Amino acid sequence: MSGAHDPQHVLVDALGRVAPDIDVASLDVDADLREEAQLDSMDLLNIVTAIHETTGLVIPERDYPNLSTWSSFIDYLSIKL
Amino acid sequence: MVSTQEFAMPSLGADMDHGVIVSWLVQPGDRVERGQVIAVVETDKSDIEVEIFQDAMIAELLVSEGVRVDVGTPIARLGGIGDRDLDEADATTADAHEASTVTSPILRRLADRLDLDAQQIAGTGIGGRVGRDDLIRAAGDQGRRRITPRARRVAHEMGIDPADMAVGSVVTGNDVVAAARSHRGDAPSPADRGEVTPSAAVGATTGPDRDAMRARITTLMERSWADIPHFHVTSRIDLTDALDRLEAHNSTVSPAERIVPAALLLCAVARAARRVPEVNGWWADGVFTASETIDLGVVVAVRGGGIIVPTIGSADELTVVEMMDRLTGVVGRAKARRLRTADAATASITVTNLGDLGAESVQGVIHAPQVALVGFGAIGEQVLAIDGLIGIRRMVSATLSGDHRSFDGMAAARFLSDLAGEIATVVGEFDRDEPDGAVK
Repeated sequence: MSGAHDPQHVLVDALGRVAPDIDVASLDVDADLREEAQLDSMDLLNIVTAIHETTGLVIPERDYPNLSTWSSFIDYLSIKL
Repeated sequence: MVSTQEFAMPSLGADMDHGVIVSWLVQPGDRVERGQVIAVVETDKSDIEVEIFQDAMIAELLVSEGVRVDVGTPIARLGGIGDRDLDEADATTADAHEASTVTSPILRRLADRLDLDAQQIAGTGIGGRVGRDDLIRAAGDQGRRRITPRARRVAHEMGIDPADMAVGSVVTGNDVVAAARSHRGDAPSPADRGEVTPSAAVGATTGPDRDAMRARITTLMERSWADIPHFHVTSRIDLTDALDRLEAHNSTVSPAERIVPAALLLCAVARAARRVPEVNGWWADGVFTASETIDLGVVVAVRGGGIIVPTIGSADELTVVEMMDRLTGVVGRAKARRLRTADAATASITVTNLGDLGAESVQGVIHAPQVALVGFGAIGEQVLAIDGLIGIRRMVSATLSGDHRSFDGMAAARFLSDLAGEIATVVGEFDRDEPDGAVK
């Protein structure tokens, strides 16, 4: 299903659901996303769940290290979507 | 036979005198089902979704949005109650004044002692039932008794109303303690207590009103820090096996069904608190009163600052799957700053999981009048010597903040030891729940 979903769009949407107050444009793309966006484990799970619901992609927990920064998250989605 | 009933502004904590209808979620003519949220009410603590406790038809809304009314004021008229069985509805109506308005024998006795006519009291509980709050309020209306300053202070600490004293015309601090003890002994149902005790929601506010949240947190923390001689005992707990098991489960289910480690930790805290009752209850006026149930206050950091502490009631009875369900619910509602009635019930012990945001350990401030708070740090890999070998294990630090007036290091150490043991027990049950034996 390559190209069916734009990674940027998917992540903005998922993050927006969990942390509507976050200004995505102001995030440091190479900083720790969980710290930047003040995400706890429940938030991260909700983001992963939202991505599953919108794209069908199941991100296994062992891949969580790939989600540590905005840019690595986008890279990961670019490969998987 | 037309059966109508009034639905009164509920009491969402003993310290709630009034509430504002933020919005009605129903209109006249709507059929509503038991458990349906019919309105959102703003209290001093947070927005709370008010549920209806019976199937009915909304006949009329008596209070407009934005209007502030006292607890017990009728806010809606209900019709068509018990339509499914009219005979039963009639019987209920007929019996209402004798049985339904004050259903609990304990409350009936209290009404007697307070010289109250239960029939004249507006019930704000389930199905218009009269709760302890209603009696206390009615007693207060009937004639003010002299309440000593110490009684007021103690009552405030205990989260009860000094008017709720079956004594003479003067209420003293000792009366309050005695009454508080007898109340706890009465073992009221969680719902009952939810109605009558102050909310554990420390600082929820609506909209941009963050100062109010900060002010409430300040008040609670100042009081706790000034009054409670804190001591802290920390253990490192090996979560490796438990997390392996949890992750094996999570790899077989959809993301929505995954379980976070916090759910496991909360289960274990609740069960350890059952084994070490010294940590589970309230301290007031030199006396510790153990709680009959394990009601966990769960500290939720709100985006933009501040905390809200919803309660997960009877937490020791939950499996980890059930706990995850409850946790998802209360955390979601707390972050949205909109709690349910049950979320605002009084907690008997509080848990903070600051480690989730990366902190290594937490030595938290107890939420008075509770006597203990459990703080978990971040789960991380550590090198550990096990049976003469060196291993890399996933560890978490668990710190019990204790009220040294109430219990000592011995109980704290026992609690932490039990906590570690309960983690294995909780995960063991988890295996049983899954017939496919998903361990890989």
